[in-house]
Amino acid sequence: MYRPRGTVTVAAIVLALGGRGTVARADDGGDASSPPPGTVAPAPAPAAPSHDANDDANDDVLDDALATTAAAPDDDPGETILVVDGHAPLLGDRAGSRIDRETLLERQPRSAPDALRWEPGVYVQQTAAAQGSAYLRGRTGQQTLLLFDGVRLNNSLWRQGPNQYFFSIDTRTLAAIDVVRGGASTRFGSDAIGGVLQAVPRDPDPGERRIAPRAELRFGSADHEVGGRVELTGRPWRDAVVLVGAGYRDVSLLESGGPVPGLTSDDPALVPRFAADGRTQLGTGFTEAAWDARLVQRLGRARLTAAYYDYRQLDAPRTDQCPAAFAPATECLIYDEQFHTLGYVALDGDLGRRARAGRVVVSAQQQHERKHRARPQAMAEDAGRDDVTTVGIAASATAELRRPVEADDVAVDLTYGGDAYGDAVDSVAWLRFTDIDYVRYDSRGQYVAGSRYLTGGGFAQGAARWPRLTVRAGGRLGVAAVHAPGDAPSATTAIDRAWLTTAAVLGAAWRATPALELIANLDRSFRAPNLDDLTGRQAAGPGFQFENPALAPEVAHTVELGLRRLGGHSRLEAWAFASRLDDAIIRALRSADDCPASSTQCQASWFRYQLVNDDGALLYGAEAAAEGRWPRLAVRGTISWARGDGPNPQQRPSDPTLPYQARVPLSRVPPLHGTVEATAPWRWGHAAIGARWATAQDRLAPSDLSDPRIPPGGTPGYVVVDLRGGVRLHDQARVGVVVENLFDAAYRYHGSSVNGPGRSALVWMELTP
Amino acid sequence: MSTASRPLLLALAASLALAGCRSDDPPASPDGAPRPDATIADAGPDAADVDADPGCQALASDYTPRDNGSAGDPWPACISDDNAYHPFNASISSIARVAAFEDMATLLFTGSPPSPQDFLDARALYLQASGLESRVSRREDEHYPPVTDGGGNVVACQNLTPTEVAANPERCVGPAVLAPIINDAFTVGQDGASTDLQRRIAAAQIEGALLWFFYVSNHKEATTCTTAAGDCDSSFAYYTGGDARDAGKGLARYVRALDVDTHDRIWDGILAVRCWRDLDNPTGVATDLTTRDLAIAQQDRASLRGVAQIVRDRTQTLAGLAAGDARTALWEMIRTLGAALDREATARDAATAALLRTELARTDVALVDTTQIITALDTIFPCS
Repeated sequence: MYRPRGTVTVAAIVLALGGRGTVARADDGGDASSPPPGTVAPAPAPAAPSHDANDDANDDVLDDALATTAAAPDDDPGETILVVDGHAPLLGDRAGSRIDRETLLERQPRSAPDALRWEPGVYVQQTAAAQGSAYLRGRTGQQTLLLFDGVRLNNSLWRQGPNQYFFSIDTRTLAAIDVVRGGASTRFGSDAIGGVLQAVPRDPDPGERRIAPRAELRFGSADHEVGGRVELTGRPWRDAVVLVGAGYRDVSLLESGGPVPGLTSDDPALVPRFAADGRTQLGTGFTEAAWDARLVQRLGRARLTAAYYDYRQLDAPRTDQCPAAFAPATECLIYDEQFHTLGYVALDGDLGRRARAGRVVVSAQQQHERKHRARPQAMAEDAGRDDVTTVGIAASATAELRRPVEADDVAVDLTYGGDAYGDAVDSVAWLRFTDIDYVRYDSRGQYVAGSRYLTGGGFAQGAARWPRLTVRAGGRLGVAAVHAPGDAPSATTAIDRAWLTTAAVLGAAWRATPALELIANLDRSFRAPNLDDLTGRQAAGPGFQFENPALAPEVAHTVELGLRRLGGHSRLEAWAFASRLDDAIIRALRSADDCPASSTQCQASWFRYQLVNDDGALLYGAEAAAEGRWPRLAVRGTISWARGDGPNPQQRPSDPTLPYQARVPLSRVPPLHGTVEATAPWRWGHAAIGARWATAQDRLAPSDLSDPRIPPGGTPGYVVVDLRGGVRLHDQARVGVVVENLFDAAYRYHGSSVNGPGRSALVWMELTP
Repeated sequence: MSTASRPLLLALAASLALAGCRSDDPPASPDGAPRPDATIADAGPDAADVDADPGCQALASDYTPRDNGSAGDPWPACISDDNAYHPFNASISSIARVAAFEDMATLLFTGSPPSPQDFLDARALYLQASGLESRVSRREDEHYPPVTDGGGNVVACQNLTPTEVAANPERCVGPAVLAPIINDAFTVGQDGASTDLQRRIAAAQIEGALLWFFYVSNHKEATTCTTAAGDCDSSFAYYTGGDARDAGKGLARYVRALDVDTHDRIWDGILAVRCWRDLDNPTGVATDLTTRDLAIAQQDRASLRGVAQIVRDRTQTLAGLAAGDARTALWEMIRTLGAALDREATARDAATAALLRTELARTDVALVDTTQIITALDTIFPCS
């Protein structure tokens, strides 16, 4: 099913998107929108032998579009990029990496966030076993942007700090995950401050067959996961391919390597609580179902994609609240329903020199959350439902402004486009007495029903390419607008506001030698306050956060310097960055007198927070990835470091003798961490060993000190070793195993509520009858 | 349509149909008006100055901020010498829980039979997020040693099974004793088929249990202030409701209305705890446990006297009431709150405590010897 990975010339993408004709070289002017030379792909995993006899080329253009890769000359590595299912990586000349389908199969991640653990500059925090949030260069949640096939997933209810929404992507539907580290608002708009994650879906690929079934099965011993996926791909009519699939997983309590002691005491963090065996973590487990359909239709020189993805997670406890740190053991906050439904239609085509690689995508999606906090001792439950429906449109294309004539001529192109996404929100909350089934609704939910949000804008980004130098510059002008009704009983203020938003990028890449490239980028990205910031009321760790309708957008200015060394068998990529966040939207401590008049939960909480704009949050760090690839061995290593500080959210005490720091560490910035992997491929399988490690993190924000997720004094370091292997039994079956945490380490990713799985096995099988 | 494509389209249609299955929101109950705003109830008019025992004298070791700014006691100068409470934190979450109690009081503790709807409304107040129920269900009585497992490790009540909690009613007083009283009372009170008497009794039980909770919490938070300085604020608030000395909500309202001197002595104890914490590493973990124990003992002695004064006053009222619903209900409040005194009473005077226990155990109010109760209380809990 999956073809050996490799590289393809840039111009092949044009062909892939519908063009007929001769494959051209990028510096022939083939595709100005494609990433410039040097985009580094993740460590190649061993090429799996394909049972599909359709590897050789045919004259079906659509099949060409779905063809994956082709080799590029080794002596010109800068001219190559990795293309998966017709999708090029997001951005060139930027720090980033790609996890492709074969790697996903071999690593068998437990979720889409889990798939990112081996990437440089990425650290995955988990508030629950059924949740996961990627930190990109020390930022997460609202400050990173998630895309699915170019469709923006971030919506206006995404809250401060980690969130679980990338978990709602079924990795079994993906061809790849792209990671872009660093600001990218010029191209993608609001929220792309820390970086961008793009899920790249698999295209239907029945090969030469009219209908091709496929199945994946998996069992995990750490959490007794049982699940799988079945799918059919086929050719329903001329010039069309379709994929229909459905998946299911049932996951039980997760067994860890044991409690993780703190740095300043042997006591573990207050959450999670453990079963009697001292290893099995309460408040874990979930059920998951997903189904999808994808149709790709060739329309002359264009390609039309209609796709539908539905993810449903059921009965997923939030581990740090199941039970909460000081609550009775029977209390539990459970996400009864967490659904994400996405449908879109995309048209890709080449409209000539003024609109190469044109793409228009119209999307509709809904995020549905229904949760309740069970309080059986009190015969009560607090419950709520939050829905946001989003419709969006995005369009982009690239104009060739100047084609080079001579070898040393400059090529100039301009990528341009625009996007707009609108949200409509419904939100309710209620209290239920379970003994008499008495239900009382609050006057408002976590958010205000009837709220609306719009974000969008237009961008243009040009690139001038000389043989050894590329200079890029671009900008975006956009708008964010919010309407939220007031609610008198809860003292909620009505909001009707709009902001003009701007972003810009300037960069240069200089190829000092044929194999060495030096890159510098200056980026201005932004995040406009969303409905969560402006209207949300919610528990936040041990405290309560209430809204601030007066917030302004936060703006990040980032400088990054990069180096790429591309050899015949090796690649090295290293980046350093510094990012200053102005008007940073941060939590400020508030007194009970500041609480909204009717919010008793606010007044009764240990801490009260309100989001405010503040200046001077600073993040800086570095990351590097190196890989070597030979016929019988591939090795790869990554290392990442970030450090951040910002203004102290606590007011200076009136007593001058009391210690006070004007600047304090930012919350949950990942520690120094990295990975090492070695993979040995052979004709019928592969074997691999990998290690993930992190040092201790004892730089804690004031809010971290009272965060029940963080052990006393900070989170200790760890080394976790995994073994992986797979073998193709015959053309129609492939099996593999991942032995996780070989030495049964008790470990925790900093800021998580959940410890990592103990020594365990994931056994998987792929059937392609 | 080709034959081959038909199953695919059917599968697609099936998945789209499945996409519709999500839970409906529950219908609001007929009387389900929006949850009441949590306006903090006025504590009511200040009590008249009543000094139940003008002869009361502080112990020589007591902290006495009212005496010329602590000049006459052996305590070093500290933050409390100005006779005011200076919180560690800008705001104190316990204040909202006392405020919820005051709101409940306007529904249930009025002297009139509350309606089932009053109980539903009061229960919603009790169940507010991070509210009273959240603390009642976890409250441990620090007067008793902690629960330990087979290996001698301390286990918090919240981590015990219901059976283990029930087996440790003294330490796990919140989940084992108070929460069941309150839950059962709400169950009765909210029942539309309940009688006025049943609802009166239920309200009285809730009142007694929550006053007991405030007393235990005042002591518990002072104890845990050893490691978490902010808990001193909670100790202060669980008695005062956040008010100043010349006012008071919750337990302070009850005590001050009966005996200003005892109220002031409780305040002195609270300031003693705050003074100790000011002197003992206020930004870290306290180490001067001798001074701590002096301060907490002073506070607890006065608080017990306050609780005893409430029980005594209600018993006096009971003696003057004719048989009827009001008398029966008042007896339930006395019995419930009176149980909070048993530990200290037994420690001080086991024989008299046994008499008190016997009286408070009576379920038939007609058999109660109010004089015996009052005498016992005066004997065991003199002014101090």
